Order: sequence, then structure tokens, then C-alpha cells
Amino acid sequence: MVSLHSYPARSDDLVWRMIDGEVVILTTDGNEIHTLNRVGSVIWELSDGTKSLEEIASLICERFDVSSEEAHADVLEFAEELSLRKILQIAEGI
Amino acid sequence: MLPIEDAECRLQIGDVCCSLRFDDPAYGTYSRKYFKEFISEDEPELILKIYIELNEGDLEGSDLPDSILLSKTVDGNSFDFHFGLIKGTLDMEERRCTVTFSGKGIHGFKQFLFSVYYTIVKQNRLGDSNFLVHACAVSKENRGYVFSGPSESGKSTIAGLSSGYTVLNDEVVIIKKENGSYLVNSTPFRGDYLDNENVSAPLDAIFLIRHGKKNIIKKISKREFVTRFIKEVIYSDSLLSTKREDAFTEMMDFCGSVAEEVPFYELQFLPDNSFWNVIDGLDELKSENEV
Repeated sequence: MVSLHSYPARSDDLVWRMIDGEVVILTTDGNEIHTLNRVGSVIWELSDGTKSLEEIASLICERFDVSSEEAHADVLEFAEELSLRKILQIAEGI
Repeated sequence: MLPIEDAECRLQIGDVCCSLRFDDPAYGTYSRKYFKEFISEDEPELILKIYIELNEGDLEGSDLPDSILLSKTVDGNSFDFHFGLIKGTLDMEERRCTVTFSGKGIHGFKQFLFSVYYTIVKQNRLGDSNFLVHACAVSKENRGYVFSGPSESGKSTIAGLSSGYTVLNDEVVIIKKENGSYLVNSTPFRGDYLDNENVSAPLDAIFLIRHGKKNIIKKISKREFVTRFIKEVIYSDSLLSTKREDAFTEMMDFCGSVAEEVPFYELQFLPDNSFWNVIDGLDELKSENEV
């Protein structure tokens, strides 16, 4: 279950690059390519396993003109979708 | 210089020369005929001793996946593609490879040669800017145009409609960086078009193609280009490599570099040669989204 207290981390089993400010992700079975929009790309870059989704949402608020409610909803949706696709790993905070 | 044997097909793939030596001379004769524009007399950088074990029905239809290059196991100097259908050993110091194609494994012969090509270019330290791409390429007034897309997107159609120019290939080309600029080079790996020429040309533009109801050239974002183009880059693993992630990283970086340095567009085209008029007008294309 993903919550604002979850710590997202990018999966090791993929290759990704920032192309013109947007992330392109290639899974290393060669079967899937994912692209992220600019907000998603920032969340992706911040998903290094050391920040909670709540902290990431707060940083999103600083960088983009969105309310904290919108940012919370965005990061939760992002983490849920990418963890279902197994390109983001979710750990619960202590 | 090694003398050319009866059962041998000495093959030029871009800058790479490899010697295919079959156990049955008939395969050598067939290969020399099939690859006739790409036969070399150069010193081979790798000699492949090839054994083919066919049973009745093996040549009919293939159920091998396109991703056969991904289904590989490596143990020391031995490799095994797709659960024993293609297996052998490689000794790069001796420049020798022994490989056996069993049963329907013969349908993976071309994909195996892709891996051989990458093995040699990586050995020559040219691997990070030298890739095989599913594409048709045409040279017009020494400007190389690459038309890339998946199966049925129209690569052979484009080649057939470009017979007034130099068609490098209608199926697989090499895109490589040389002296700071990208070039496109033909390969022996053709599709339906038979008059491919073994030449190269400075790369002027890349078009991601699809059939259309009119001729349209559209600018697309770098992200869209990389996302679509990387699907057409042939998996760049060498024969004994087990680091799949390294190959994908190189492919991703290659696509990013190409996007930075080579103009790219989407081309929808009619099945006649009028699309060349639109391409000729590209120099005037600045900020319009559609021609």
C-alpha cells in the first residue's frame, strides 16, 4: 500500500535518461519503454529511496505552481502506477 | 592474406570483415550469391566455422521470436542462444568462432550475425557510436536519408520508390559517428529490395515513417523521437557479454546523441515518389509543423 510515508526508489532493472527535461525509461528485458511528463520526471529524479513521498510532494510544490493537495495526489498516483509496473520500488518508512 | 576457400563467404558489414566458413560448401556458394554486393577480399577480423544441422521441416516457417538476441546464456567462452538452437564458442584472441545452428535455429542466422557485428565493433572500440538500425537508407546528391520504422511501415516501399537515387538498404543500416559526424552505411541484411549498394553517406535526416493519405512531414519532440527510434535500434549485445543493462545504456545514449545532432521528423507518405518533393522542401521547413 502506497502512502505519503512511503519511500520510492527507482528499480535497478532498467535504463533511463533525461531527454529535453523529460524522462525516458527502458526496461532491460527490452519490452517496455515509458516516458514521463515534466512533473513525473522530477518525481522520478527525486525517487532515490531517501525521500518520502510527502517530502517529494513538498519539493514539487516549490518547483511547480500546484497546491499541496494536488502535489500529494500526483505523487501518490505516480508511485502507485509505477510500482504496479515494477519500475519503482516502494519501501515503508520506519 | 588468408586464401578464400570454396565453402567460405567473406562478408563485409560496414567496416567489419568476417569470414563465414561452412561445413557444407553449398552454403558457402549460396551465401556468396545472396550477399553478392558485400563480398570482401579483406583480411577477416573474425573467422566463423559454421555447422548447420537441419531436419525435415526446419526451413518452413519460424516461430523464433525477434528477441532471440535476448535469450542467451554465456559460460566462459561458450554462448547459447534460445535454449541450444544456436550455440558455440568464441576466442577473440585467436579471432575464431565456432557455431552450430540446430533445427529452426537457422532462422536466427541473421540475428546471430548482428551479434557478431557488435562483437567486432566493440572489440575495435567503436561500439558506443556504431549501431545497426531497422531502416531504409537512400543517398541523394551524397546526402543520406534514413527512413526508420517497424515491420510494414514502408521501408521497402520507400526503397522501391527511390530507384532514381542510391538505395543503401531497405531493411537494416549502420548509423555511426566518424570524425564527429554521423554517417549511414549499408549492410548485407536486406529486405525485399534487391538493388542495395554497399556505400555510405553523410547522415542528413532521419524520418520515422508510416503510410499516410497524404505526404506530411512533422516535427516531433526529442522524447518522442528517442522513444520510437530506440525500438528500431538492434540490440547491441556482443556474443559473450552478460551485461544486458550496458547494451541498453549504450543504445539509449546513442539515440540521445542522434537526436541532438541529426534532424529528425515523422514522415507520412503516399505510395508514390511524390514524398521526395516534400523532403526536397525540408530546407525551407523552419517552424511549421506540417508541410
